[in-house]
Amino acid sequence: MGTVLSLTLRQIGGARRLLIIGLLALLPAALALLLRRAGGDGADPGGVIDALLVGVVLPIITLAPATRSFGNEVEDRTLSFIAATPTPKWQVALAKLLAPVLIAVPLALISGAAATAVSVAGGAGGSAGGANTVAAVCAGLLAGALAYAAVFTWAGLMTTRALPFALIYVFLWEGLVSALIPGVRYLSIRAYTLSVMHAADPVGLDRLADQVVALPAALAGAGLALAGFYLLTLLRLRRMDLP
Amino acid sequence: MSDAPVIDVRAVSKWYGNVVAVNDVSLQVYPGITGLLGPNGAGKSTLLSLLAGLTRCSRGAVTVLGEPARGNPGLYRRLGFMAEHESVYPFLSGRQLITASARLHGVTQPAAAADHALELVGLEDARHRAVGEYSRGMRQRARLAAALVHDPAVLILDEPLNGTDPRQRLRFGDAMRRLAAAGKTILISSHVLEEVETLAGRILLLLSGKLAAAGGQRAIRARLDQRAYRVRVTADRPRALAAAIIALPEVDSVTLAGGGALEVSSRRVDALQTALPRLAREHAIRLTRVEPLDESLESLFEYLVER
Repeated sequence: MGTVLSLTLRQIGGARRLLIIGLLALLPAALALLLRRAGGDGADPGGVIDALLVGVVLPIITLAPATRSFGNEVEDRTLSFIAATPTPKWQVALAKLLAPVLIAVPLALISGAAATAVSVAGGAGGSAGGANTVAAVCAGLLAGALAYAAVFTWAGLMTTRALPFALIYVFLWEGLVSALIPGVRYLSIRAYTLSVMHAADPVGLDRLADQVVALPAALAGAGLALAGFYLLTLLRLRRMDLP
Repeated sequence: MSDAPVIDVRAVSKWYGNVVAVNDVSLQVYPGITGLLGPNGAGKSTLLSLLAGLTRCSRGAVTVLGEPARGNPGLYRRLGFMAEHESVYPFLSGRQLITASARLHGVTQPAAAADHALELVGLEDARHRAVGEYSRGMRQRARLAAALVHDPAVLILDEPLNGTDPRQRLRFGDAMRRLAAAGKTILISSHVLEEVETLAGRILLLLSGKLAAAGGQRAIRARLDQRAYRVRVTADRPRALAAAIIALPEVDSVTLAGGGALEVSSRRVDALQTALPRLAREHAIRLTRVEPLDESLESLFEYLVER
């Protein structure tokens, strides 16, 4: 599995791509800093986290590597290099999921921790409250990144148009439909992410309260997305005619 | 030749929607070198993909070394496959690519196996260069090395000689003969008869997804010569040319097709090709175009006229 993981990481983790999503990951912290300077103490971490970090940065830094994890090899037809070997398909599917996770999760955690720390620094909760909020944000981001990675890795194997699919899911389904129809939140990774954050620090992140679902539902949803789409990827890999 | 086939294909068909790529093919492949010959679009790559277990049969069954080819990852320890497309991981060096293939195939000493495979295909001097910088022929050889790095009993190679120069072809032929002499089973596809007839003891001829012929090189040539080929000939005096052509013993029929063109049917296109310029010269006729009519036979026509 290590060879597939290493090949995939080199394939999806080009220096220029990493630089672009790395810069994107810095945006929430930069915006939080600007807001603090403009608004003085007590900047609201919920605003930056919801609107920018979870709404834009997390899905994009995950979908960029995840849709390419299989997508590259399906397009350039190098998948048979891996598939025509004794490596079990479950290991191939797992490595293909792990590669974008290894890129997106550290970036998301650094981005979330920095943005939250800047937002809560000097706030009413003090350093203990701030640390709790940072931990809560990181827990939510971890759950969200894992679920997004599983969905977008599967999409990369299913279609050559995985990127448009991912963008439609994130910005149309989660951003628009979910806001208009509350029940859709139960099928939204963004809502799972915010729910885990809010459940871990309901005081520091009280602004998120009206966008969340119950924690058990959020954990079940994220877990189902991770396990379910991994299994769908494995099933597709076993059944598909390889190019 | 042993009795039990190494590759056994039983009534295999493969279709994509309404397109039939492989149509009710049954064949057996034994140790030694077998050539799979057919024009572009004949279904060779699809058939080889079915044999390598990468594509599911719509109907029929394929076994390799007595095991099902599809859904059987363990089989790839004894099977090496080189696909037709030339894509590789351009960021890897030749040695990294072959070592990765060795690891994926579970080779215990991947680096040593990679060096041996690179030597076998003559890429040892370019081992540290990025594959993306390789010429087309070098990429082909790198992919061949990746397919045989684990010393498989069965090698399935789809158009392995594409992009290679004559010297590389000679070296490839030598390497394949050595492997065949060591008891390996090698199936090589090509759309050029000359590429495989010097190598293969047995040839399978695939046309329009069907197995048209199977046998030794002489038998295949005989079968090819039995076919009638249609050739369109355009000239400034088509009626005079038709009268001259119909007298040729190698011509079966001639039809005036309009626009100064004739459609000539012949079972000996090589002889027709030689006779046409002579006739034109003798009768002061100017030929403006000679082309095979049936697209699926174009390559076969080329095989014959090139000889």
